[in-house]
Amino acid sequence: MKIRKRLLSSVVASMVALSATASLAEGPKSGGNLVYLTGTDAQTLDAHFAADSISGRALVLIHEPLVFPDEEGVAQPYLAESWELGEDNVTWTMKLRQGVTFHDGTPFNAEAVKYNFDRIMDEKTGSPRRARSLVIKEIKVIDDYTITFETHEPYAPFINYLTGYNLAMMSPAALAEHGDQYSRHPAGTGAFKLKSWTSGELMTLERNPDYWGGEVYLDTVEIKIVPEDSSRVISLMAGEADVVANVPPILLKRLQNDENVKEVRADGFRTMYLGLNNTLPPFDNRLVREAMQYAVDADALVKGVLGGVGRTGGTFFSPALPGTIDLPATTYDPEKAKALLAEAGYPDGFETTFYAPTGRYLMDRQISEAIQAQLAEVGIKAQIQSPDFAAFLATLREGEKAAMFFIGLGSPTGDPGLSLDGVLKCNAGSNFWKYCNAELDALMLTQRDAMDFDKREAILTEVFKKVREEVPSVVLYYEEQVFAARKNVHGVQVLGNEDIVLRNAWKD
Amino acid sequence: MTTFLLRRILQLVPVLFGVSIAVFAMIHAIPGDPAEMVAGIDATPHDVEIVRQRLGLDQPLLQQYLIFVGNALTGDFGTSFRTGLPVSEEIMPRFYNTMVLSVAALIISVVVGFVSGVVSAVWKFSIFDNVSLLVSLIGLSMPPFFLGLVLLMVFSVDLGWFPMSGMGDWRHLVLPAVTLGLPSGAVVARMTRSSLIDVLDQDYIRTARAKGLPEYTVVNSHAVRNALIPVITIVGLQMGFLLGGAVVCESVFAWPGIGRLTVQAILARDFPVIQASVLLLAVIFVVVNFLTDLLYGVFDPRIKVQ
Repeated sequence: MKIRKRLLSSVVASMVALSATASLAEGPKSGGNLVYLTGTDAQTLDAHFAADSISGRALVLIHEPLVFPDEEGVAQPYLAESWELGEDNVTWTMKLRQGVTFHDGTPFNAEAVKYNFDRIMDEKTGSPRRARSLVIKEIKVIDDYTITFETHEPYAPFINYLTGYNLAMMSPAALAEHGDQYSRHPAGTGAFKLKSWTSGELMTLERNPDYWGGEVYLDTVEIKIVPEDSSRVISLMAGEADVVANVPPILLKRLQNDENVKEVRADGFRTMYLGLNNTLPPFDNRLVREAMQYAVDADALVKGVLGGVGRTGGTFFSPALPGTIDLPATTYDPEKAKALLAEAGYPDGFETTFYAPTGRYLMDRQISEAIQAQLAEVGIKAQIQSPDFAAFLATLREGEKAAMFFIGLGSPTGDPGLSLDGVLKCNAGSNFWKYCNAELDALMLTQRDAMDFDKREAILTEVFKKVREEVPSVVLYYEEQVFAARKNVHGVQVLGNEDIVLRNAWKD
Repeated sequence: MTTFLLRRILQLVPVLFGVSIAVFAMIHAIPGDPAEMVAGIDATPHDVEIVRQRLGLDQPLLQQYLIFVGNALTGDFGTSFRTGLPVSEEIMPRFYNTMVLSVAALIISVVVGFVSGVVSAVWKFSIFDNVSLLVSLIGLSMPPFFLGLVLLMVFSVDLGWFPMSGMGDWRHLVLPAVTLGLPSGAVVARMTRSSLIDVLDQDYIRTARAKGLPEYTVVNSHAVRNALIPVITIVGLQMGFLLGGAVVCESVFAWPGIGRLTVQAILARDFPVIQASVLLLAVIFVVVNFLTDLLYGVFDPRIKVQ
């Protein structure tokens, strides 16, 4: 019986593969369990305590933000139906969707929204993501489904800021009841409810029958933790899994040769850098930084090491972020690099330490070794140091030892303006390059209160062009998200911020 | 016997104190700030400070240690920095999983290792002995993740006999237990063989043979029992290896055990989880050593428990 069933489903699968149009005409099928394998478990499902993309990815399957980014990354109405900015440029009036309830039956309304914001902003809560919410001065409930946010100053990224997983809406009743143990009893408004969760092993979600956004096709979703990259891929090929996250490039070829499996890709928000500490010699000299840019062959890294997963470019942030321009990548030119080094007073190159984490980013060790070899061509001897990530981060923050480093930065908010503030402003939290330019800081401030979209985009363009001239660090490539699924799985969507959307997913 | 037991339990106290001080000193000496790790790479300094206060890491070190010890004495090991759950809730299910895996692996290791060791010793330099030497060598030299992946490819992907990963019924246990048990079985086999060969050269074995006992009785009642002491020592040590060395195997087969939990906790600087799991492993080591000592007495009555 089992064999017959398997045979039947494989026949169906190949029929679908043959005529995609036919299956679309039939429409999505309801029911079934989707097995989704990922390498790391979520740490928390409490949106206010999540500070890593893995937790964010899991919690937005259960919870939803007020606005949701479309494929371009632009915020669209979601739990909020519409919004309007007042004449004063600081008051946002928002109309909320009616008839939405949390999984525990609590109605979703303006009070619930205010409760969520009050909690993350309260210092006693101890949220690691409190700081950004402090742009808000006051929140007022106008009526059940109308709410206003008043910011301290005009703040153009406000709506994009609401798309972040830290501001996904949680049930006030569940928060009040469970407090800091909410993570085990989450109640959001999402397409799926948490059924059970064994840390590090398995998280089971079940369909929310009362979902406001229409029918949810899958009965259940099983998120299994399989840390070993190859085990995940083998499971998918063996048909024990329907979707797997983060396929390593070395296994991509094998997957592509398997006719029962397909790739699901998305341009990522994360940019990978060859970080240079602008306060330490020789990188305090702009000529040297520019030379580094010509000395590294980013195309070769993507093609040779990453098997084509990722794309190169010249903008300091991934162009997948809305409002980011796409500047061309620098052409690899070791001769020019040598000339620039000579001009800067290093005709024979120099020696430096190169801090590179292992097992944190896609193929990080291989990438760092390839960079080391490329730099040797122009006379730069880089000594690789690979402490674990916590020690790596501590060394970077301290800023005395790590002159050169390999690091990736994503965008938790999906807004380039917010990322600029955190990454390039003098003394900002993630300004690992210790770059400081008062002129640029002033320019970046003006984008924050440029409420007109086109005007803001013009300013951002100017900022990115200026940053490119200054070369605070070398932009290597932008990560690409590579997931894979069985051919009979449809409607799975992967977003640039590493989230996976399953509310429209269905299986043949 | 009771005094022996009591003494061994009392010995645990200084061991645990020593371990707790060593672990505390080590986790605070290595670079890396737990508050940074919890707050994430894109946190502002203000965010990090709030997290540091919430986790109690702004207190002086001595005070942090005393708070830890005070709570630990009442059985409270605090809450995980990463998940906010009580540490006991994090650790105990994982510890149970690791025990299941280790005991299964130990059984495989002892059965396979002991049987092939005895056969190799009795028919030394035979074909079986040479093959067993070769297999042991491979088993010892092959990295566990590689052995694991090969087993997965053959038995799960090609033959479909066993599930790929995770926990469930006994079929989930087979491949990880074999992956973990075979290398230590190789050690047991080599140890059993050389120990038994030594014993078989003894005078009293010659006497036993001379008086006409069948070879089976000679090996079974005279030799094996006397060859067991070094084997038990090795098995005791192997148990420690299995508990601690399961990390790689746990990763390949997605077996949610304590080894992986501890490694993750160390990488994330999750101090409460590191402290509690290291203490727990220390207790297990002491207990296993104690059981090994007791077993000596069972197999060799000359070794009296004092």
